[in-house]
Amino acid sequence: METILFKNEHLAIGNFGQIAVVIAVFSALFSAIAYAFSTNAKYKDLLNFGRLFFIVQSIAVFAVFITLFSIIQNHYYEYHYAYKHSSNDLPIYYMISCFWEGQEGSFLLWMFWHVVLGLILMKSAKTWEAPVLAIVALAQVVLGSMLMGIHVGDIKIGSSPFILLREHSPEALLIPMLEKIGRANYLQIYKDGNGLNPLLQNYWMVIHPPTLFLGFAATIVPFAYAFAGLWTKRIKEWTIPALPWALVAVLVLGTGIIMGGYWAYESLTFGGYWAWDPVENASLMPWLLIITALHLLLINKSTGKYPVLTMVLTIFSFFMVLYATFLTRSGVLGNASVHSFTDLGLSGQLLLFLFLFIALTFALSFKKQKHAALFFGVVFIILMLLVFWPFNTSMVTVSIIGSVILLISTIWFISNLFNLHASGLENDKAYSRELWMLIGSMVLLLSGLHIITQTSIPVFNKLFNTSRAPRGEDYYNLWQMPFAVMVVFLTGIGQFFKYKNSDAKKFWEPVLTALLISVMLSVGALYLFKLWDIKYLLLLIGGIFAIVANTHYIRVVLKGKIKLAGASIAHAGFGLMMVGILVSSVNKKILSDNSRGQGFFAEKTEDGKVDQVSIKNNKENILLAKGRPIRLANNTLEATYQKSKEVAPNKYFEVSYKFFDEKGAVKDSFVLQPNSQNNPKMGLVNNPDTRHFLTRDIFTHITFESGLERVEEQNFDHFKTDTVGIGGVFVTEDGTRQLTFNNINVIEASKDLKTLHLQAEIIVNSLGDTFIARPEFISEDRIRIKESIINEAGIMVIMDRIIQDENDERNMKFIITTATRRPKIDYIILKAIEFPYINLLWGGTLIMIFGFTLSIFQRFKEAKRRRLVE
Amino acid sequence: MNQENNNIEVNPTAFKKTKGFKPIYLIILVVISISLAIGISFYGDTSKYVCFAEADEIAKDRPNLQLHVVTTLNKTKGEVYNPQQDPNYYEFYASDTTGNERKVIYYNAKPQDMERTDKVVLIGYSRNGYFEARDILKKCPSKYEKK
Repeated sequence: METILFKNEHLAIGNFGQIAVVIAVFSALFSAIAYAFSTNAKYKDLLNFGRLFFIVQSIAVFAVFITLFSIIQNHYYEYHYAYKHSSNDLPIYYMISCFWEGQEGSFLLWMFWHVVLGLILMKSAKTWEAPVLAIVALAQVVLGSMLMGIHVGDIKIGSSPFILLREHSPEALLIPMLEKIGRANYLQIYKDGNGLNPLLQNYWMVIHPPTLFLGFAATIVPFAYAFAGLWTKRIKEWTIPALPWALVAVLVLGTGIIMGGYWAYESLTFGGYWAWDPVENASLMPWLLIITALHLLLINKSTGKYPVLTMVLTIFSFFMVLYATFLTRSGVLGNASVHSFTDLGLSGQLLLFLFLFIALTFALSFKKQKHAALFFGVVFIILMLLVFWPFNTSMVTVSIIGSVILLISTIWFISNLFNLHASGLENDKAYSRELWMLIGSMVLLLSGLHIITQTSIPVFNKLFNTSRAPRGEDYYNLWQMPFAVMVVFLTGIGQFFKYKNSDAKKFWEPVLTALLISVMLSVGALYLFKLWDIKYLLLLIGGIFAIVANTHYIRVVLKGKIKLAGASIAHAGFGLMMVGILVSSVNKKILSDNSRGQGFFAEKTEDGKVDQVSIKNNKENILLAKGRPIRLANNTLEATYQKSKEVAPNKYFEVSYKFFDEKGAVKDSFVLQPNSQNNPKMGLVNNPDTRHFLTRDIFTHITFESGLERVEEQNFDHFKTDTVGIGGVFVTEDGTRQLTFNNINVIEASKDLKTLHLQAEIIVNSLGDTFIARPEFISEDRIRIKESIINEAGIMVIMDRIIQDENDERNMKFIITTATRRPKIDYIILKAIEFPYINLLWGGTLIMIFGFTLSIFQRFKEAKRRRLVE
Repeated sequence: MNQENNNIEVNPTAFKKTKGFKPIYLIILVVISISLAIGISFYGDTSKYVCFAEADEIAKDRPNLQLHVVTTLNKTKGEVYNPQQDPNYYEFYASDTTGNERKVIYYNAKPQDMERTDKVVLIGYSRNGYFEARDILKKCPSKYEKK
């Protein structure tokens, strides 16, 4: 094949980026090795090399980051990444979203946060620096390798963000248009990119991914401390520096998850903030583990108890981040998630990442280096062999072997830890804080375990060749509600216990007071929220109890010292969140409830019973014809589709809402503008619009509109001919339109009546709307008739003949033919939902975030103080 | 070697130190039993990926069990969505992985982007002569990648 010199390409910047990736990976590798050796006193001097290489790596990562961003920003569509994820019309802040729309960009984001955290740790970790940074650097090696895009034989290592469009899809050069101008000039055609998915064109999408990835990245720090503790055999001390970092991970990851929920609520059309989708669960799983680990770290700090559990949970919360990454990026979720994932062929590499860290950590639990090395070698090689299984054995056998090995190693690891810590089962007093915190932690852990097993169904399917389908929302809600009830009650009582042992009377007095107040408040809340279902009563009381008890604790025990109240504030915020979730989802109301149409009435099963399933048929969409008000929600709401306007690329639909009170007076009146974007590259995307009130949100989006109807011009049908006089009333053949012959106008008439031009005025009543049809009759040298078509009424009116009464010239009869077809009207199909008291959820979230932030400051200060003392 | 021996000896003393009831045992017991319950629920009454023929079989005994069918849309057969008549009635044809074709009814608005989709996962119930979808998961190549 001849070589073509392609014109106008900017190849230098891509090469630069590619080289920077390679530098980043190798300097991270050198840094990891140097740091690892420097943990040994013999090679102490290597510490400086570790630092140096880490800094080189940091600069390289920044360089990659900036390079990729400038490729997007400068619209260099010769690069596949820019072509696929951005376009010319995007404002700068959405360019940022383009950056992390693709997998490569999000890996890069993750690396970026590791760099930031690594640099902070380099300054602050002191005696822990070497082992902790060795781990961070190792993670950078693995993450960086995902961006390499190098082929070694048949194996592809990573997927480069700097791959050219023509390399990625050679067919791009084969389109016929290029034959004329020459392939070398292909960039004249690829002048605009695919663009960013309209759903992601939302300000929350600018900040949600970075926050989430900082959360993911932050889990490496407590893990690295636990790992370092095992490595350098400081198996007790590691918890002190790890604790504040676990709090950081909890805060940031939690905030990221909530932001994702808020984005879904604001810009997706599924009507909610959480759907138990595997992708959402994948971010919740590590969060539940790290928050469990956080509570154990707290117990351990104050009592020294449960060292093994603390370590295991801290370590596994990081593994869970890796596992979640594997879940969402390997394509294994396939049919289980509405979010689709392009499989970049990285699943092997992702598993390698996961197993490498598991095997390394487990190996460190052996006391003798020889055993550790042996264990690591054997387990890692077997697991890798299983992942890239070269032999022709059934997948199930391989999976069973793999699972058994993982299970045995985990048990072995935990028993090693028990030995290392010289720890057995501890004894706790019934009135001790550690016992109740442990119980709470176990509830969180079980809630997490439940979500993990259910979300992993697609993985089990793949491994064991089964065909179980993922669970629906109801199933998750059913299981998770009892956990939530237990958690809210425990957050209420937990802090009233003292560590070790506390006075029963001092415990019961404030707790019972709080409980009493909560029950009383709950009665009020029942009326306010109209939450009559007994099922939800416990969660309501519990949520309120969490708020009341924690406020009581701040007032009575902490004497209002807000600085120390981080935990109590976070707990109260959590209680409020639960109340918000409960009220807004249980009392969520479909305002556009449609009682018309087919299939509304329950079907009967064969034995004559009412089929319960069919009753629940969705009838949630309603048709709004332009300008015609429709009463909804038991006459309490009037919705009118006013008009549509196009602001490219969106089409906005103005819908006015009027809410009435019991007397029929207008209570609230406002206009919402849901829009739809018919994106030529990504198809139709509907965006909702929400009106926020203090006590409720009105959420609305369109599901269809008349402009989308691709009806071929339908032929007229149902012809009927009537003979009528002026004032005569008649109907169409199908009886759906009523016509009144109102008048006849003479447009032109010669004296001899040789030329006669008449126009009839016929009033058409169609489905409550009135139109005027004006068919014409022209008689010159020959007769011509001009029909009148009214699309909105779907009617054609023809004046065929005029019969004059011989006796009375003024008494004329007209022969009128009508034909009908489906009317063409301007309409939208709308869905409207009311979310009552959803602000309780957002408010609770903010309070919880505030509480966590207070705690972080407090704990970092405390850790610093402790280090100074030591 | 010595160190190891020491540790093994420490363990039993931790058990011996206290007598009588330990709340921790209760916690372990409860945690294990709930874990078991989670495990059992995993194998319990779960929805399955099936083909239409299997769905018919299952529906005979358990009409209320939600089923998942991986299908390919049959676009030549045409679809019915007349929002003016009923905005909550959408009908189309789809074939399962065995090539079996079935009429599908979705009592909801026509999902956006059906034209651009080939494969959909139907979640719902096998009825007399048709499949009632409660949910349609689309897999368009162009759909966004979250994260």
